[in-house]
Amino acid sequence: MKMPGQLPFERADRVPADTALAVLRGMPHGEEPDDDDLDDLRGQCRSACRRLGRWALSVFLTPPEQLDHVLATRMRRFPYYRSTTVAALRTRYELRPTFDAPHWSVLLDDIGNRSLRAFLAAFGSTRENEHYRLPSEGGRT
Amino acid sequence: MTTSSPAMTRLDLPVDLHTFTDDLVWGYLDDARDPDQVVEGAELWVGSRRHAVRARVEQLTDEPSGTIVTLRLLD
Repeated sequence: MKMPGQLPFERADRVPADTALAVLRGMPHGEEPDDDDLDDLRGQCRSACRRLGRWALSVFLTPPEQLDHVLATRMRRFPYYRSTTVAALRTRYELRPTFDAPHWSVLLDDIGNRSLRAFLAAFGSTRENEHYRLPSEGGRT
Repeated sequence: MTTSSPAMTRLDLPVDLHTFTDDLVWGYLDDARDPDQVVEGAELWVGSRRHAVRARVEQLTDEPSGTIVTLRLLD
């Protein structure tokens, strides 16, 4: 049964996030995000809002000792990533467990460039995912 | 690292590659570059304009918010 305030696709059976957990966000490249990247993020927020009813962006939560495993499995399609902790992210954002674990949604109040840059800035610098595998065919235009 | 903007990729359907339901990713049909191309069994480039991967369309489902395309990632 859906609880009051619960989002569609929210997994109420998942325990509240431990503040020591690592928060990972896949990145498409290693450069500083530009306006095109922000437009892509905004599109993800819009899709999330259509399905969840709130502006949201996706992250993965994992115990620090399992970070490498997540990078090699769910995140292996991302060439780069950023990371922070639940404790750091919770000072500014609300997190909800949604969709398949270890997915969580970070709720946003608006999706302007300033807010999206602030979201990304809440994470550390971009790092290379050593487990990234190149697609079997090139998709470059 | 270079300072130039990364190249755009071919993108058939915007999909958040973090978000799985039962191991499938999803997007909205009306966001597709060519919705007529999005049929069950079709292989598409999905993700974002800067990073796309191959996926096969598994199902199209009408929901109140729009038609959801569920896909299995291939790479």
